[in-house]
Amino acid sequence: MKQITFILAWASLMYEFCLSQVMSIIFGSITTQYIITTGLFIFFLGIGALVYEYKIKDSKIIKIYHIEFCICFFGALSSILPFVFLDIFGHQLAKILSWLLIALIATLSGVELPALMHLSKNKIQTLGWDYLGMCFAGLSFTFIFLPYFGVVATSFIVASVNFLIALILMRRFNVLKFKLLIPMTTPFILLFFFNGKIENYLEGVFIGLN
Amino acid sequence: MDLTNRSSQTWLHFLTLTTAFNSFTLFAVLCKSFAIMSRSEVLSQILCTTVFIAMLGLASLCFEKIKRKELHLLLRGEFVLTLFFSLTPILVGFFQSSYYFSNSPTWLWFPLMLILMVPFGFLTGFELPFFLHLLPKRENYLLFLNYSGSLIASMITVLVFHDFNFLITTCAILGFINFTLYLLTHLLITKTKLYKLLPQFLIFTFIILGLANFKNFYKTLHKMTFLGYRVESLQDLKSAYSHASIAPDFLSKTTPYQTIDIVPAQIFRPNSADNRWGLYLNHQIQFFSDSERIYHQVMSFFPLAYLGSIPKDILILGGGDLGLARELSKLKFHGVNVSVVELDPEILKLAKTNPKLRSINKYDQIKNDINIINDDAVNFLRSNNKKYDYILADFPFPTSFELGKLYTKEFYKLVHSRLNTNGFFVLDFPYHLSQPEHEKDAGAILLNTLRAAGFQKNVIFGVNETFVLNLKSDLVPNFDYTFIDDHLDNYVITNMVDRTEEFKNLFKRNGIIHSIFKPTRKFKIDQY
Repeated sequence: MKQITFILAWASLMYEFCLSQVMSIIFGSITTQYIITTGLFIFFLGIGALVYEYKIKDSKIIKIYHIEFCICFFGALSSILPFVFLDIFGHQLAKILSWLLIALIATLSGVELPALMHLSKNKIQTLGWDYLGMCFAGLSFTFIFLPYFGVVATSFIVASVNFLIALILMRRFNVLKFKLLIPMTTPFILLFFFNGKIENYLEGVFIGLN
Repeated sequence: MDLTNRSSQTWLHFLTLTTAFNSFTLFAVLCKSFAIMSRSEVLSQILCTTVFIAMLGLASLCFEKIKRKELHLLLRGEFVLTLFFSLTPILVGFFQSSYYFSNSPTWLWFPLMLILMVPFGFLTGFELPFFLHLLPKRENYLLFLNYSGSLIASMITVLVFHDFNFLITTCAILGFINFTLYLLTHLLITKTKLYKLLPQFLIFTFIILGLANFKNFYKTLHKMTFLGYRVESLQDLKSAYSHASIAPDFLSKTTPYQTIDIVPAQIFRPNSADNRWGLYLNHQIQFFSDSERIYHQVMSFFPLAYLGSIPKDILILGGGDLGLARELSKLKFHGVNVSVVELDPEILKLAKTNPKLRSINKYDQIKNDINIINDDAVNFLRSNNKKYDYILADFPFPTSFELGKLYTKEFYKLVHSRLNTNGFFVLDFPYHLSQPEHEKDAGAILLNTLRAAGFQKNVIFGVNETFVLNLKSDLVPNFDYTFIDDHLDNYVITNMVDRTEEFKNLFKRNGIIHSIFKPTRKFKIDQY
């Protein structure tokens, strides 16, 4: 459980860094974007914890792997959607929609830790591994992912890892059906395959040619 | 002490919100300070966040080990935080000045950041667990208040933080708020007698008074950062400080985009009659008053001489000092339109009003011949479809992520799309053959990036200052100096040299491209 906590915490903060980076590309002023994104992320992590407490903890329908699949989906698109918003809705509305995206991913991430602590035998240890995962996110994003993969591929890679964890959790709950694997993995494979075309599209939006 | 009554609980709720607000505000302010100091905004921001979160976590884990978790202990922590808030500007001021000693390593900001962020994060990390312990039945509400305080702080800080003077004001206000909360909690909740709080009151007052006098001390520290002293002992530090104390004051402004300093040569020789001065942006020299004509004339006119033609529509990106505009406005009799797009309104204001800059740019003579636009270069190019014959990029060197964005494939593609078919683009090429190897890598990256953006031919020119002329197609040169001969000073002509052949090995080095989506860490030149 501690490895899962570590990886999920790492993934959550990686999405935040990807979003901050993309926001600074589109809206400028990197420090401003990082601070706003961090503030929003912290706040909605808290909201997520409250959502878990009041809505999900005793739910028979929503399980942690459902939350993880949602995070994978939006996390994979976290580097792309702000550009799509800019292309379709223009500058001001794109900013607001991007903030809503941050809020959504953070809320979903905020549900994770209480859910993991609920599944774990040692809550303090889970919390500790959560913090370690976040620390590793900072170092890996700066020194490995951003310079070697770029912000777009980073969000795909992180979402893929997140997806694997979701599958592991499904297996833990004995609900994993192998026939679902192909349709579930196809979007990620397509994203990797079309990574170059996606970057060209984003470049076009940035240049204003679209 | 009764924490079950409603008023005590309300007060603790209020404390939760305000302490979170104070802590996140200082976190944001420190992030911004170290981003400026390090010139690696991405790296410093992420490491600051990582260290802060790690310390919050460590404190939460250590909280379990505290035996007597009483309000008094929390209040002692808050008092220490109050002192920390108040002393931060002084520490940051010292750190910033030490960073600019000539023998300071570029990574110095990191241990300095740890010195501040570790204790700050650790002390802050005790706050929330303490509040949760004191009011266990209000857990979710306390979490909500804590996170709300952080969110409000993040929104307010980015809107108002501009410069170091504001850091002093912000920290003084945070210290005052925290100390007031500390006093009131003691008086209202723990019912402590006022006279017992007198020592803390005196300590806080002493520090705030020190902070009020720090502005003048900081001025001297700021002057010290331009002297380039090598500091290896306390004696060296004292020498640097006493030199800076007698050096003349100079204009220094911090805008949301950069720091602007107009530094006289007399700062190096206080009693001399040397009237020269230099324009510095973010501590990086842009030009000296006695040699700026070489830079501005070579950059403006070599491309015209190389191609043997006069463009009709010229766009200058950056160049808010209007030095390039001064040169290109000389072509007005050829029907040339010159536009300048500058992001920082403050540098434009100085260009129009500051006597030193006006002596350079001759603003009164050129103001009717140029069109000045206050806008971001990327935003201007994206929102205007007009095409130009000649675009010049006069930006500071790419010593930070923000400036690095103006040297990316995507930006150059944007410039490429705004040039006419035979249009050309010139930028400062801040690399020399005698540079260290890693900076030659950066030169190669720049050339690769220009080619990836669609510029088929790159011509490197200039002796004293080097530039690169970028052409959309492989145009054949048609050297003709005749129409620009009258506009060049005699000593400038010897700098009008095509040096592409000297740099040919640079074209063959690494294939790395600097992209806005994948910024390469190798694309960095050292300071100054």
